[in-house]
Amino acid sequence: MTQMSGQPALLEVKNLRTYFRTRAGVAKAVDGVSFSLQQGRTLGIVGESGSGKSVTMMSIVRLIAKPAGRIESGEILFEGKDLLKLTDEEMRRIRGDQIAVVTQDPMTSLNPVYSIGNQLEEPLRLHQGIKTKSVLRDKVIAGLRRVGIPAPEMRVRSYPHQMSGGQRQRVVTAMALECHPSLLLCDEPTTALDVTVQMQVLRLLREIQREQRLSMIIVSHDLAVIARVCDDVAVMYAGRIVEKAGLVSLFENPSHPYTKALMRSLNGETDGKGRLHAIEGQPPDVRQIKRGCPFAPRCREAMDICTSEFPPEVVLSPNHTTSCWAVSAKIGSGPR
Amino acid sequence: MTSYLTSRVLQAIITIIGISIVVFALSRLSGDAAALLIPPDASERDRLALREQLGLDKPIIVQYALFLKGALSFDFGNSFRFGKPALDVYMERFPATLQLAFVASLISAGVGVLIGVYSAVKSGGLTDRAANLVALMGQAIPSFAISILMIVILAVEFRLLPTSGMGDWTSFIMPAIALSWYSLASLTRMTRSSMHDVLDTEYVRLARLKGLPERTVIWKHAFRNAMLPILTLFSLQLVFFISGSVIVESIFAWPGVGQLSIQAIQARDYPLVQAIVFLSSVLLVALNLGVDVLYGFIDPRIRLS
Repeated sequence: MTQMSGQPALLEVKNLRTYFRTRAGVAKAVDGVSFSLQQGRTLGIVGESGSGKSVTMMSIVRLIAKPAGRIESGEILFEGKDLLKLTDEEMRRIRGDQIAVVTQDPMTSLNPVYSIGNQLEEPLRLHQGIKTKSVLRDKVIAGLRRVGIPAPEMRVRSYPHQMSGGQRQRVVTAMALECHPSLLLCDEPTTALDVTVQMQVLRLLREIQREQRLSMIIVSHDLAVIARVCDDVAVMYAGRIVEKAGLVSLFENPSHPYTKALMRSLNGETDGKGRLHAIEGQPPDVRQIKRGCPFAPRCREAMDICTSEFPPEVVLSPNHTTSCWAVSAKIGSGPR
Repeated sequence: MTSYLTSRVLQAIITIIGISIVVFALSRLSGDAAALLIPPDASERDRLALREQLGLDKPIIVQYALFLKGALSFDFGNSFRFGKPALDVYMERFPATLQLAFVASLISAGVGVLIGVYSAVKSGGLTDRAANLVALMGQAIPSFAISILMIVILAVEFRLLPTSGMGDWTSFIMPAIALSWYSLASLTRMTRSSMHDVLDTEYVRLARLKGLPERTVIWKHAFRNAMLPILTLFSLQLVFFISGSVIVESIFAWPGVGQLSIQAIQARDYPLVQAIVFLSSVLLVALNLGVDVLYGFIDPRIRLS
């Protein structure tokens, strides 16, 4: 997104389409998504549930539920090579090593029948070929200490059910960081946690990201979470990115009507009758999107053209683009 | 773990006491043994003498106390029919039943679990559908019907296997299949659905996200979690391998406890019937206790709570 001069992007997603074939028809969960991510930057993808943000993430690691789901087309260039062209075996070696994922729900993400230590040793054995018990143990303990687990020497023998949600999230994070990935994907990393614990986990992610110059993608439905950790933001709606911008630019100058609506509900503005702003209508069923802009039926600024053709990307500034007919009309008809 | 085990052992003891009451009562309710053993024209004095000799003249409570005392030291008295201790008669036949049950449970657990796991992993595929059909057949066709079919086809028509009796390993094939038939089918279905659920969980997804090879994901992360319901079903089905052998052993003239129990019931051989039912029940309780211990090993949530 913010293509800085000279430096190639760590990750570049081009025109990604991931479809699911269901009995009710083809669900175009991700429908032509493009973005790029520089080394050391953090991108937030925000959108309602069903907007395709998690599927985008799972497409990057190529873990889409088969046979219903399939990456139809596009390119995912990671360090210059197209992940979609790798064999399953080559892709498997990258997962958990160069690209790691922090999953959504810490309560169910850890295997209940194995100790924390056992589960944390797996990526080290697998990707770094460490076999010595004592070395493994030391590395695991160091990893737990880094994410702020108290008394990690004792904790390695614990089982998931003996830990709290926040601690489990830290364990999952430690697991993702073990093999020093260059790209960390976080799928709703804080959604299942208490608000106070959420802040701790976000602070932890931010610290680690800075220390290791990690590139990170955080998927969330919560703009507040995104605002806390991200450099850039992509707003997704019905399988498409409708607006991308640097964090400050997006918050100061939200352009797409959907982004504006999200901002209104975030800021707690009320509608005059003391109720919080809600976006009218329902997010569309991705199986039934026809032509045009998918947000048009809920959009206050919709015009005729919105229901017939998807708007092209408009560049507002070097790091701010959006896809909206209303915005391009405004730009075309007068000075910004 | 200790408190878990203690409660399981206590439950087992209570179950065995309950069984002893049922075993005792059932054989007394089925009629007068003395009347069966004695010729119809025998005198009243002979009859009373026999009843006294068998201990049938004592109050029922005393009879039960004597039975329980004997049962706890595995002394069930002499078999009426064989004229020697019922325990000895049982133990002569027991190895044949045990061997058959062992082979049959290996078949049902091994094959059932393998097919079940495979169908869950390749869900919706051809193998899955074929396995589903076989499993359905297993639950729909009773084992005696499949036994007779096998005898007609494999033994009589093609003369591949011996029709009955216990001999070399070929003689095990048909009885073992018949005995494992139902259990194999339901274990396949249970394994399939249990694995299906587990393969959908977040921790299996995380295992894949770590880059673990599919083999490790399935057998280490998914299967161990899927095992608990499978094990529960298996422990319930152990009863088939013991009681089911009554039918299968009769069909295949297998010289085991199942066949013996039919003979004992027909002869109203109280001591022997009691010995068979009591010992089989104790065996089942012991096996179930073993399964409970296994739960603790598999699932730390049971072990550590």
